[in-house]
Amino acid sequence: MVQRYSKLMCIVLTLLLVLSLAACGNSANTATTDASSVPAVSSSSGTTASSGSASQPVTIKIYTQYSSDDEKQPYDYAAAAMKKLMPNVSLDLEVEAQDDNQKIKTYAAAGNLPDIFAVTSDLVTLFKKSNNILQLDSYVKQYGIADKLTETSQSLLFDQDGHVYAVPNVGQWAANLFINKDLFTQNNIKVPTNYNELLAAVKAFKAKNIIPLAIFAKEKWPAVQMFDMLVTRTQPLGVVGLDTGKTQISDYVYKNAATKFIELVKAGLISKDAFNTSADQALQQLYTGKAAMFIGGSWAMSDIGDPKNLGEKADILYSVPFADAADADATKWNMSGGGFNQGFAVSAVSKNKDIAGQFAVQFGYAFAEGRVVKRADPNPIMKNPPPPEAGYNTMQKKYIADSASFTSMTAFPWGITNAKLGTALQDDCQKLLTGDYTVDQFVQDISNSLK
Amino acid sequence: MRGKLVNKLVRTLLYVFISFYAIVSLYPMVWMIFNSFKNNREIFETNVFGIPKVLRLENYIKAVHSFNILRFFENSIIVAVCTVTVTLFLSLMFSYATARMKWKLATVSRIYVTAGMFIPVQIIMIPLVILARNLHISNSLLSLIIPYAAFELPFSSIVLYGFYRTIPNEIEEAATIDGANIYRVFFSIIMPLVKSAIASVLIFVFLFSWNEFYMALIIISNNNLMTLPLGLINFQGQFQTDWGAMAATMTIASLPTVIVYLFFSEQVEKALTVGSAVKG
Amino acid sequence: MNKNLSYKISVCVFTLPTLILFTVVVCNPILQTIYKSFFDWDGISAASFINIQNYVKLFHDSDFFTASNNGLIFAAFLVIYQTGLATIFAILFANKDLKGRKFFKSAYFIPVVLSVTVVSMLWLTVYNTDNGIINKVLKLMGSPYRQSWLSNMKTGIYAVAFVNAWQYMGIQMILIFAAIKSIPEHYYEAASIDGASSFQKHIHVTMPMLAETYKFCLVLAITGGLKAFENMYIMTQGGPGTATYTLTYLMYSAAFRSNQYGYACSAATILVVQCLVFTILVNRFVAREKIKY
Repeated sequence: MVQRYSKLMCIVLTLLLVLSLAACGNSANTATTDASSVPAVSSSSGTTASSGSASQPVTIKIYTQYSSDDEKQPYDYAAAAMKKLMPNVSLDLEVEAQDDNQKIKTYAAAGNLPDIFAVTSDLVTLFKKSNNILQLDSYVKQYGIADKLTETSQSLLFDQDGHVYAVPNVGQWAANLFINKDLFTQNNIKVPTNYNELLAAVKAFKAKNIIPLAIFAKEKWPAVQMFDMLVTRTQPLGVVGLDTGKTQISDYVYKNAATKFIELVKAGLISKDAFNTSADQALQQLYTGKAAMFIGGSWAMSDIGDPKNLGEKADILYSVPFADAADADATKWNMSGGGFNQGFAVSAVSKNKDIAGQFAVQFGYAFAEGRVVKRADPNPIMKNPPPPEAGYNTMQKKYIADSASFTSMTAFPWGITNAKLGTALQDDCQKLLTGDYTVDQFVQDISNSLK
Repeated sequence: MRGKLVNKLVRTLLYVFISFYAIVSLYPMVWMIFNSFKNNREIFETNVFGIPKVLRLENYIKAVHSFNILRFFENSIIVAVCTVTVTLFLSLMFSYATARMKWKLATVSRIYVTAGMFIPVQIIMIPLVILARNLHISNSLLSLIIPYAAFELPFSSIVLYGFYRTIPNEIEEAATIDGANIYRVFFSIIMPLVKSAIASVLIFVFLFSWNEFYMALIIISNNNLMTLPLGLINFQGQFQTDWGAMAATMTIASLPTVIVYLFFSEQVEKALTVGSAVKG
Repeated sequence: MNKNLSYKISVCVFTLPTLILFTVVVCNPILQTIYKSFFDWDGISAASFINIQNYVKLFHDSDFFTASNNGLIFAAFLVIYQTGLATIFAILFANKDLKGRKFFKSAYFIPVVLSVTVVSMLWLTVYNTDNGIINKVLKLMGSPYRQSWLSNMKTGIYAVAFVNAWQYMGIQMILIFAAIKSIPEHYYEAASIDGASSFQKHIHVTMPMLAETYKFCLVLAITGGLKAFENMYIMTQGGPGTATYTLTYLMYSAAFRSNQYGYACSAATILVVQCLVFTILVNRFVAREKIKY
């Protein structure tokens, strides 16, 4: 029996040991500096906040996307630039996951937001209401950020209430229709310049077993964007009008857009698989000639226009083919996409508010610079952008030349401040894509969501 | 004679069916390994299901360099071992008390814990994170181990309960008459009888804590405390995803589970044969 | 008296750690959830009490009925596929005549071992209309029939449910297998002497002995179906539109996508009640077989 008890004791001891290991593991962790690319030091070990104490080393915790080259290269560029501007600050990066903002919302609910975090307009609205986000007006003034930005980028800097809660880190992305020119010439199909030609092209490609439009409807926002592209042909406010309350979903323009949307779908616009097609997959369909057109933001230009992918074969049609022949010219430069106050924000409960504020403001600007230098962002937010390292590709050059004529912008779904509306638009526009949904149901469901 | 022929035909069909099902079951693992050597174009368009034509080792290089894979591995092991130990220890005792001891609230307690299986974890993440902060464990792996153990308790308690119920009462009665106290009966007589159940529960709990992504994502905010499944977020950008590197990360993360399973399923088999001999 | 006391103490020693841990980590948050379901709350700012308005709204929300219906479909699918196939496989593999049974048993369990992300992504590819295996096979057989399994508002939920059912069948197989193995040999011997065929033996000996295991498997499948989430999250995001919403997805969407946390809490409460009702039903209707030795 003694043996039995010693066995029991063994189990208990192992348990205790393992538990204490787990508990201590932490304290040991904070002490070791690890060799990963990310300098990881607990943010609580930072020094007390005091502005102007430039010599004191401070660790700022930052929460932002850092997964694809599109995100990593500008981040690294900005981090390097900041090392020179604020050498006392070291960054502790936590990589943001594609999780519908669950984590950042949970952070806010638990009251432990990171010092600096990336936000979209809907988050700005939510965090403003709950006093989680710091007003950055004074820091923006201190570093003269507003003066450095172009006219069109001002809406990215200022919230709809006129204050600054986030410093933009990217330009005004537009949503565009991209095409593979080769497929049009090979099949003798006219590149559409208005809605009727678009409809004809869709039918022609469908008949040739080519997917007319590669849309990645596994994600919910592209359908909203296509709807917005249709709306902006007659109403420049697009879906943003619904958000600001200036327009109603029952207005004729929205119904008309929904009707056309359904007509295109019924003509065979998208693949049956659109609902389980991811962005990468849709792009591959465009590159390999399986699909003729693609809807995406300006950020996709560097990849599509890359000679490795489509290069000279690619072209950008903006939203033009969605317009009736009569409106096509007048509304040519009503752009879909863009956005409101978004970028890097600072936690209102940060222990190093002041330093984080100064840092975030300059970091956002440097990040936007990084996007131009490293990713050849064709619509920089700054008046005097640096030249891109690799130069612009043909499509980007065209975009830059055209962008001077852009007259209006709307937003992407993450720029919709009313979260209920944003969710309803995403769910219900996706239903439009099934072709199994009527205009009346659509209008009804959207207006219900706003109750 | 005809009966025999029919019998043979049925047997052949049976083998065809179970072999086909086995192929379908094993394929995901093979597919994952294939994908870990491909790039996005091959994964989506040119070579969706087949053997990779070029071995793109760069996926593995990316997987190893993008995050501190050794630390993540270590964390995963600590979390899995602790979760398994705590869950097994607690549920073995608890389900013993509910299955074989006579006390007023036995059934009520059992049902109370069973109800844990109903709870959708997404909605209680915010309270859980606040709880971890209040217990001052936010900055340690305990912030994962404690919720993991608590959420696996219902499952393991019910499985063990079922097994305890099949043990004949005479065994304990004989021991009690001999004068053994309850703890001794439990540890030296009952526990060995449910070895096979312990092995099964161990596998399930291990798999859960090893593969768990969601709670880990929300609860852990320190790069030094992240577990392996979280490595995936390093390849999934807002507009682009590196599927090959993701597959490589998943392959690295899955191998231990396959090994643990193959090893323990053997043990389960052995334990089962011993168990039925005692009872038979 | 003394003995009685020590017995009570031992009950406490055996159960209290579990009960305390469970109450603090699982029960306490869910009680908070139920409480918050009576509030208008975005999850972060101050909440305001609105009585049962969230529930009123829920019962007027067409997505709620879609979601509940999908939960039932999901649960029924899991019960039929998982419990049904698991029983057949478990009986097969318990039979010592079957060659290679160890291999098959391990192979069938492999999907359980893999993470849900891998399995969901594989099935996404399999369901694909252009490159997918199912449609390729149909093409090879000369059938013009093509199905966009996931993109159809009506079949989407079945396609997703199948993936979950297929992946986790192994759990039930192992549980039932272990339970069969723990049935004492002499029961079967007695039945053989009575002249029962092997099929009859299973009906009269195996099934009744497994009542407890089956109850658990049913509860596992039903609650698993009602609160299904991860497969939708990875494969369809509840789409097309809201066609593959389950209550958990509705709850998630309300809580994190549209910032209606209080509303999400009411959906969660209804979900817990649904699970509870089904568990009670299972316990009532699956007879408890007296275990006689």
